[in-house]
This record gives sequence, C-alpha cells and structure tokens, in this order.
Amino acid sequence: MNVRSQISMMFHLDKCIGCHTCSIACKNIWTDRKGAEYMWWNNVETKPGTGYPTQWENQEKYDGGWEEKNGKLGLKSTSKSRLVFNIFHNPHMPSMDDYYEPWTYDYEELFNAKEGPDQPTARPVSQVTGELIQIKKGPNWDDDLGGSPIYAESDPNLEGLSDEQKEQLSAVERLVFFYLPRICNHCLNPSCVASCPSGALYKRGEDGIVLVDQNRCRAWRSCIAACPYKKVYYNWFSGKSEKCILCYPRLETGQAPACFHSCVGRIRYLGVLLYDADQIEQVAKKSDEELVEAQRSMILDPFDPEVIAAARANGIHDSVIESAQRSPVYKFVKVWKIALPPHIEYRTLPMLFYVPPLSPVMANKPDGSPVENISDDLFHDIDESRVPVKFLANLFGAGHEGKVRYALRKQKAVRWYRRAKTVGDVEMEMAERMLREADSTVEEAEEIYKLSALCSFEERFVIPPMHREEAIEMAADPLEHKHSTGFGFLSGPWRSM
Amino acid sequence: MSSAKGHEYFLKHYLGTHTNAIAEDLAQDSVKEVKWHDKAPQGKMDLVVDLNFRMDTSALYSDIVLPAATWYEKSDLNSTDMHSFIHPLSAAVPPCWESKSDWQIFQTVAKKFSELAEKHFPEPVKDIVATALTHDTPAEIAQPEIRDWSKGETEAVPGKTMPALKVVSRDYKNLYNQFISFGPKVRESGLGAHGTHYNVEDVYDEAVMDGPRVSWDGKAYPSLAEDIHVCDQILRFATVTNGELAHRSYKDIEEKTGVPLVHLAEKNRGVRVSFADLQSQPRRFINSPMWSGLIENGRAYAPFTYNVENDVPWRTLTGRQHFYLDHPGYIDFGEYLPTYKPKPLPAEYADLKFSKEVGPSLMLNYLTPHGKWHIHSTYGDNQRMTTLSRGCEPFWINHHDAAEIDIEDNDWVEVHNDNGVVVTRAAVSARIPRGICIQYHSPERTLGVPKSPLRGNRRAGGHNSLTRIRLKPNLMVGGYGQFTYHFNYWGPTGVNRDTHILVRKLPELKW
Repeated sequence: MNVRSQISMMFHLDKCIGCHTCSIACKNIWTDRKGAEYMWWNNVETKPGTGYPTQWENQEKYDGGWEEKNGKLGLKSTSKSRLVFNIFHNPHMPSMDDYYEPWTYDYEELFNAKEGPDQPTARPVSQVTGELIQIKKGPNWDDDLGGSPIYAESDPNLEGLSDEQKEQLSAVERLVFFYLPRICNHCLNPSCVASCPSGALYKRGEDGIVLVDQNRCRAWRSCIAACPYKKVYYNWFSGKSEKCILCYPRLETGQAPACFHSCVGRIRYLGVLLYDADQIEQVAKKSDEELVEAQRSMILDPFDPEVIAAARANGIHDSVIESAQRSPVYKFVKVWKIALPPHIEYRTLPMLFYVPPLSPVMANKPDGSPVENISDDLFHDIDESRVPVKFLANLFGAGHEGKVRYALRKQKAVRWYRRAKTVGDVEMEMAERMLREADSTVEEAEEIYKLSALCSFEERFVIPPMHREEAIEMAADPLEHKHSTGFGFLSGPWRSM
Repeated sequence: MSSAKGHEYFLKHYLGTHTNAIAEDLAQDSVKEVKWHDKAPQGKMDLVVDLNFRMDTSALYSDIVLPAATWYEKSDLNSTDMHSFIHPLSAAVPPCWESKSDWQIFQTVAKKFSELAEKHFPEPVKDIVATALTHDTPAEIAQPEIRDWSKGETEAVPGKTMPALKVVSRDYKNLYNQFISFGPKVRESGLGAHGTHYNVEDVYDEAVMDGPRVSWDGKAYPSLAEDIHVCDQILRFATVTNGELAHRSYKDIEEKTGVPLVHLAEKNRGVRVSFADLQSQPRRFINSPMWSGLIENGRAYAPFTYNVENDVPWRTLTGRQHFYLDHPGYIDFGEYLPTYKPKPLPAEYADLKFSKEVGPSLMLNYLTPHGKWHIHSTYGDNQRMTTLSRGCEPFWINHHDAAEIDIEDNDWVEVHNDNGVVVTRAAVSARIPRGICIQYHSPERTLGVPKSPLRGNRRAGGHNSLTRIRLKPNLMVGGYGQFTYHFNYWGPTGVNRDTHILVRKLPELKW
C-alpha cells in the first residue's frame, strides 16, 4: 500500500444555478492577463451543449486521454514517440476557433468619433490582433440552450439515446438543461503530465495538485492535446502552458479556492482523499464498466489503522489524516456513493466528482400525461425524468447506467424521506422502504440531507493544514524570493528594482 | 436611458433628436381635457446633464457628462428590500482623474449655486409645493370615489380632493450649508416610514456632540459634508441599525395598535452599527417595524410574519389581507377581484400600424424580461459578462420560427415596429416557445449596435426602442387605503412592455 494524499473536489449539480460567479472569481484572480484572455480555468457549461472548447468531450476530434490496448495503457495521441511526427502540426490540437477569439470593444470611438449623422457605437475588437472582428463564438456561447439546433443537439453525450429522447430535448415543454461547472480534475493519472516532453508538468507530492512549471515549459503543447478535459491552456503571449492551480496559494493559507469560496449555490465541496498509488495503473486499465467502482476502491478508509500506519510511513502528517477523516468528499464519493467522476473512460482518474442532477424529475411522457410520483415501483420516475439516465451515464458512468441510477435512487429516497418528515404528505413507512431499497438508512439520509442542504463553510471546505516545514518549496530561502509576486516568473515589481 | 420604456419617444419629444419611431399621433379623437396640438412638442429639454459612471446611452445624448466615481472609489451604503443585509461600498482606490462621488458632485454644484444666490436670492424666497396624497396619512380616506374638482363635481380641497399644497421657504444662499448639515427639523418632528414614528432628539444631540459636525450662523449640526458622514448618520438614525430607535418605533406602534410589541426589540436594544462596523463585515438588519419580517436568531426574512405572529393590522383599508376592492375605479375596470384577462390581440396593441413587411418576415410577440446576469442595465454589459454571453444582447427566437424566415443562429436580424428598430444577432433556441421572442434588458447603444436599413440606415436602438409607455387607468386611483401613493411602492406605472414586432434577416450589415 502506497498511501498518498489528494485534495479532492465534489460539485453538487442539483444545487448549481449556472450563475458563473465561480468563473468570474477565477478570471479576475488568475487569467486577467495578456495571452490568457481566452482562458477560463473555471467555466460553466449548459448541458446538453458542446461546451468550451467546443466538443471537448468528442475524443474522435481531440484524441485526448488514455487508451488500454493489449493490456497496456498508453496515451491516445500524445505519446512522446507519436509527438515527433506532429511536431509541425498536431491535428488533435484545439485551435482558437475551437475556443473563441477574445474580444473587447473599441470604447475610444465613443469619445473620439467624428461628428456625423448618428451616435457612435463601440464595435468589438479582438484582444489578440486589436482588429475589428465579428463575434462568432464565446466561452459560454450555448448558454441556456442558445443555438440549441447546432450545439445542444450535437452534445457527444447524446450517443445511445433513443430518437424519442433526442427529440424530447428540443421540444419546448419537454426539454431540460442543467449546468456543468468545470475546473481541472487534478487527476491521479494525468495524461497532461505524462505527455510533457520537457517534464514541466508535475503532480505535487503533498496534495496532488497538478501544476505547470513555468520555467521548464517549452511550449510543446502536448499537454493541451493530451488533456481530454481541455483544461490546460496555451498562453500565446508568454509561450507557456497554464492551468487551474486549485488556488494553491489560498489553500496553503487555509482558504478555499476562489471558485469554491465564491459559489453562490454552495455546490462545491473540498477535502482530502487518501488513495493507494500502487493501484493506479491496474485501475486505469479496467473495463469501462468497472472503472467507477475500481477508482472508488483505491480510495482508502482514513479510519482504518492499517491505512493510517501506511500513510504515516509515507510521511503524511497526522493533521492531514485527521483532515481526510473529516472530508466531505470522502462521504459523498466513498461512503454514500452518490458522487461520480466525469468521463472516467478517459482513464485519467479525475479527482473531481459530481452528484448528478435529480431535478426536474418530472414528465417526459410523450402522451403528455403526468408522471405519478408514487407507485409500486418507487423509483420509476427516474426513468421518466426529463434528463435521460443514459445521458447522465455517458457523462458520469463511462456509458453505464448502474452507478448513476444508484446515486439518483439514493438522492430521491433522501428527498422523499425528508418530505415525509417535514411536509407529511408521504407516509414515513413508504419513505423508509424507499431508503432501504436505495441501500440507505434513516441515519444516512439525515447525514446526506445535512451535508447537502445545511452545510456550513467549514463543513464544505475541509482544508488540510499546510506544513511549511515539509513543503518542497521551503527548501529554498523564502527571503530570496520575497520580491517575486503573483503568478509566473520570478521577477520583481519594477518599482523596487 | 436604455431602461426607459418608449426610448425612441424620449429621443423625439424630450431631446428633439433623431428617432426611429414612425408612429403617428392617433389620439386626437380621444383627447377631451387638454388642448390638442397637431404637432407634439419636440426637444423639450434645454440642458441634459449626466451623472453616471457607466457612461452609457444617456452620456451619448448629454450636453454635460460629469465625472462620476465608481463603487470602489467612494463610501456608500447598499441595501434593498430584497434581502435583509446592509453592505458598505468603500474606496479601494482614490477616484480616477477628476471623478468624484455623487454626493461630492451634488455638493459642489450646491456650493456654486449658493455663491450665485448671494447676488440673485440674498433673502429666502417662498415657494409652493404640491405633493401626492400620501400613504400613512389621513389622505388614505380622502378619495373613496372619483370626483373631479376641475369639473365642479366636488369642492377643491388641497390634500383631499386635489394634491396637498404647502408653502415652503427656500434659502438658496444657504443651500450649500443646508446640504452639508443634517437639519434641526428632524430633531423636532422625529422620523418614521411605513406608518411608524419615533423621536430622535437625544440621538440628534448625541450626533452633534460626538459625531462629525459642521457649524454655520452660530449653530452646530451633524455633518453631511463627507460621504462617510452621510453613511454614518443614516446608520445612526435608522431603526434597522440602531436598536434603541427600533425599540421606540415598536413602542409607537404598540400605542397605535394596543398589542404588545416592544419585546421584538428588547434583545437588540443595545445594537449600534457604524460604517466602520460594516466595513469589517456586512451586517444584517435588526427587527424593526419598518419591515414586516421578523429576523431574530438568524431567522430567514419572510414578509408579514410581524403581522401574523403579533396581530398587527395589515396596512390596508380594512387592516386585513384584502382582495375585494370596492373603489369605483376598480369596479368599473372589472378588476375588483383578482381577475384573469386574456392577452390583447396584436391589433389592439396597435404597434404595427405603420410598419411594413420587407422580405420574409415574421410577426412575433416581443418580451423583454430581466436578464440572467443583470436586472436592468448594470453589470450585464461589462467586458466579462458580454464575453460570457454573446457580445451583445441577442434576439432569442424559437428554432422552427427562425427556420421559416431563413434565420440561423448568430445571424444579424432586424426587428422593428412603429416604435423603433433593433438590430442584433439571433440566438436560435428550442427553449423559446413559438410565436414569442425575447430581448433581455437592457442593451445600450454604446456597444456594437449596427444601422438599420429599414429606417434610413440610421443607428438602431435597444430593447426599449420597440416599446412604449401605456397607462393603466385603475393604477391611477389614489387617496384610498392601500392605493395611496408611496414612493417606489405604490403609484401609476408604465405597465409592462409586451408588444409585437416584425423580424427579418438583416440584408446588409452597416456600422
């Protein structure tokens, strides 16, 4: 057992209102710079939709992530040997057209326009070229089903849905959409790290955060093609790749990452998961159907004395082990099993998990008749939900419905149990039967309810203390770097030099 | 200006500048009480001064644009009746270039005005002020019927059958001094709103003693000279941030209603909130009869819990929740009970009498709801948020409707009716029902608005270019119970903006 500590994340999609406050918080702190204008380390997508960069989930287009071939695990298109042949042109590399050309407006025109018959107006100009442009795409272009015939109907997750289900998604009174906020998954088996010819990407030993060393990056950009989630970005101005750093300067001072901290719907949870690093390769080679369970099995019980002993032997501090014991992510992922990894079939073993959305659960009956909430089969409406289970399975179950269905059944049982308790129009006996059938108990339902609905800041974000005495960076003299500021290169503010 | 329903008519009648409205006046036969002019006045405003840091559409049309400081360059308070918190705005940086806070700009204008008044108005002058029949006054029982004194149907009695009239004294020479001082009148007459009243003599004297003060003509007053002074005076004199005043206010209502209420204020009687307190952490209101929700012990705000749990009468004619309206204005209009009325037909809206279909067009019901990231104009059009939307406020249309007139997603469209014209891009979506289209509040003409071929290749407008104000007669009923005027609560509205438009693909993009 090779115990490692990972700061992990959980997003509760039933609570996301798609306000993008997370995106703005991140943008203002980290990517408000030249060359980074088009980057949204945190973005929020409308599902169904094609997201940002467009069609990122379509690996036939981008060929990111890992594949298992003849018992071996290999990068799909970005192994170092293959990269040589794509040195001048990598056909799988997203281009600016796949993201969008960032723009601002020619505000000066409003002040300087020559006198004329009409009021002036500030036209869009490219933040890359400075030229006037026609806006054709943005980082949230298909927001709230905008352009649904082009975008929502081309969502890669529609694969395997019946024609009836697909039609339903573009019928005004039967359609549905929900939001999918995305940041770097800080994977256990990161293809970006594996693909880098310069060894610039690394996974921090103490907490598993995946970073790009700005001094070692040589602009190969293989990380960008390799990441199947398209969460590494190339800065055209600095000539380096960049990505979500999980606000590690904040984490190191006990603060939640900015996107977590600012989340209006309180959908975000953060905490330590202990895992067995010896299992990574075996787990990543499992069949699609086994992957979710396999990843769960490598997450270790932080209360198990053997795990604790092995963690200590690996230099994990007691305070981090205690933090893992209080981790809300551990409860959602491992204990309650209602949070699932996104697209685990990419085999990078993402450490960001999602509680799939249960609402709106009602009404996709083609004849227009209402869906009954209660019947002998207590969970039938999950299959009559406007969100097809298969769609969620494509997102969160590597195409397999079992684990998604389990999560939805348990969520529904908790909801009905609480309804029996507080509204009283459901018999408690029936609610308890639902809990049993959903593999839950009254005690668990109360805990799920509390951590989902009444959770405080401290319960949502259990941040392990930063041990300065153990941090790698501390090997360097901090005073030597006192002049270096913010993100990027070690050069001092000009005023003091 | 973009938020003004009937934007193009503002351009025409107030400013006398170019407008895209083509509607002609149709009301001649219905006008009975005022003199009819064949040509309505245009350009009624001589001077337009804009004080708004957004530098929006209004600024384009103003004679003078004042340098307004932004939220993070000044001290200010932010609160609303939509939540129970009070937030500070603080100067993170000093105001850029010449800009000043609104308060300082008004003050500077007042100062200059006072200097000029020394010559032109050396002595106070008398003025007469007409005010509406006001809520929480005896005017609430003034007009149970509609009787027009100007037609001799009743006697003209100010404050009863007509607006209240009051003679006031204007001391223009001292306008600036008055601007920077919290006047002594409040000390004598106390404060109140929403039917409450409380005395503040001691609080006023305390403010003069230990707060910032200004002196003129040998007397000292609580200072309103600095933005932060104003914030602190508001907090000092408000019941939601001064527990003693909340207590007094409940006591006053207790005496009026005969039910015990001061217990609602006991717990927080010692609370005093200053601006510095807010800067260290935004605070929640304390219980106050100013609001109908009770919020002790972290309780979520829910309206009327105060009335329900403490037997405090509702502020209606009957003192109860009140659905039947026996006023002739409502009876005649058929709205004396909550009433369903079907949507008027397009012809009844009469917004397409003069507009012509040119090329494949579709008539749609046009709606202008609040956007996802903004209520009216603020926030939605900064660079971040335009990036997270589509760089403009697009025209949302159902995909089947769009296909009928060959419109694809992100095509430029021209949307027009008699009131004006909009040129923007189409957002084609299954989310929009057929027959309906949406442009969300509140695009400015400052950002990426092309010209309209249908209206002589002139600059197109914003969402309110297609709307106009309609008055609803029964909303003009006043002086009767809950229908009595109160600022921002009850009064005539411009009703809403639903109308009909014609949309077509823009044949040629011109800037």
